[in-house]
Amino acid sequence: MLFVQHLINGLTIGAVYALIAVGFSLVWATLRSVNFAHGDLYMLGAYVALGIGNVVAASAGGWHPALAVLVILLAAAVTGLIVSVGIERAIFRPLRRAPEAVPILATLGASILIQNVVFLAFGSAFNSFPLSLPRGPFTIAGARANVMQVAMVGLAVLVILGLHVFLGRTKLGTAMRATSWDREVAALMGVDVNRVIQVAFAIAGALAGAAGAFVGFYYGVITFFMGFLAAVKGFTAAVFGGFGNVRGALLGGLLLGVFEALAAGYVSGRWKDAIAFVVLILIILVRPTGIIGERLPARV
Amino acid sequence: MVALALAAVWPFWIQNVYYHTVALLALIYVLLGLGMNVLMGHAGLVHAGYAAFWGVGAYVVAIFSTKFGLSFWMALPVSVVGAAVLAVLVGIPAIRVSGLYFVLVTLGFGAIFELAMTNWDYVGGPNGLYGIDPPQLGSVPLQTPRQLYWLVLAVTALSVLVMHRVANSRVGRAWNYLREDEVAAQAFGVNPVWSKLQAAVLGAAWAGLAGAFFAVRQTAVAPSSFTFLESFVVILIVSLGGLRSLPGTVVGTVAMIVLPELLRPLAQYRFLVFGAAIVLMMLFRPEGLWPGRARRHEEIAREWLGSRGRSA
Repeated sequence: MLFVQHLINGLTIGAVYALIAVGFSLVWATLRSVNFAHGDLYMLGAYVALGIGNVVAASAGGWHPALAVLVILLAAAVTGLIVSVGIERAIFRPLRRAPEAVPILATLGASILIQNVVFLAFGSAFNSFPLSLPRGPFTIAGARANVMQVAMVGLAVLVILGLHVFLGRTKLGTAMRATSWDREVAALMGVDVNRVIQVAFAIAGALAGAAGAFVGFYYGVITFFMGFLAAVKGFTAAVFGGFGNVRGALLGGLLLGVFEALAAGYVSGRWKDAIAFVVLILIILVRPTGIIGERLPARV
Repeated sequence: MVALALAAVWPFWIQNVYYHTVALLALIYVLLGLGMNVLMGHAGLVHAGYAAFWGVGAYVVAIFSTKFGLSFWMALPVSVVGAAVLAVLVGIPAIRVSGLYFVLVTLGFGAIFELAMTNWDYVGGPNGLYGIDPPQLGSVPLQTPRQLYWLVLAVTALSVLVMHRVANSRVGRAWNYLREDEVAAQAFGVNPVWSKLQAAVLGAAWAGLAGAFFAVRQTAVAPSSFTFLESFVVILIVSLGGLRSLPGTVVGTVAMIVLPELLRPLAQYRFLVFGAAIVLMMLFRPEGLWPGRARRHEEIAREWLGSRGRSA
């Protein structure tokens, strides 16, 4: 069945969008700002995966695939985390009181910087993954799917729902929600706002890095400018689902992925990337709270 | 005045055509910067789809020339009006949302323009259109970069005058007041949507103008020239140089366009330096290298009241 096939492909890429979207949502919730270099954390994750994949492919005995995947995902996540926290410390913290455009433009500069470091290190061409993992293909309702796709969607759903529970049940999660409601009052109540923001950036970076590693394995080809479009789509997914809301990010990401796959399948592949922009514009203009947004992001 | 005279005569001494082409490109970006300055500097609208207006201007000239064989001077007004009309179409929905959401909606429109040009076979798809005829002055075709440079220099000088007049007019003061304090400005009778739409139209018209000259400089247009990155380049020109400041726009253009162009031997590293420079600028000198006079809003309010008094 062609429709089921589009659905499977859409959910897979949608899981990646969701992982990126969660980062945008967390940063928005705690800081009311946007990190334009967020997509580049995802790109860095993909390149870390490429680098370690090279080592694994070169090692004579070969690693167990599960071990290789685990090591690579972890390394990509840690890289994303470190760079994300670094951006928070170097750009957002000193500019906490600056007009809102200033840190955002600074992260645009950081994005160009990161991209060109990778460009100088790996070149401008598309880089192919050396390592191909066993995918474990199977058929479902006449459509082809594989274990890797199931793992991607499953992991994204589990991680994001876990994050939702973390925000709702733990002390740190409560502090994050309090910061999201009103940063100043939260600070007065004894919440260490700087630490909360740092945690938000850490989680955002780790998930983006892991998402990048996933995409590297899934498509097998990566480039140094892959972060921009991914960031636009992740951002769209976050706004679509309800900005600042992690369940919304999951829902928005999966839906956007499915929309894109259906549009590419039934309309035209050339317009696939326009879907995200059209969704973004319509949502902002028609329903800025997103699908499960409870309130408008406060703006006067 | 001295600067203008210098800008007009140096190509007589320096005959190297390469410098003429770079200077011509820089002037086109100054025109773009002047338009963005209206949007961002005065009205406070960070328009991330600005390159689309530039693209409309360039594509109109390209279509007129390559499809119908019509002259540059016929196309020029259509370029300007076309960009302004698009600004209204984009602006009517976009101006209702503020801040970051405005940036994202306009970014989306800009990206859709680029995708539309890439997928529209009539205008050559990803390859674009080429073989655009040079503008004629009387019976002389303005073909060399130096001739075009003089033409665009004259247009730029005129634009600076116009922009200066507009910024200090009733309309310009309304933009500044809105940017500083939207609620207070509304209380004084400024219609925010109408006022911002005026800024969007004027800014886009200048982008269309710049696009028309860009098309004849390149003799070809392609969608890859009008990506969202170009919008950010213009945003950075005016914000690195300093908002609401003509010298700032020129300094920004030198920093963003001329220096990277002259440093081509180091091309590999220039974007690296560029990215780092933006971060450092925003951290240590966010007001830009040569900012315009900071205007307190009491001062603007007084001027606004004064103009009301006069017109009543």
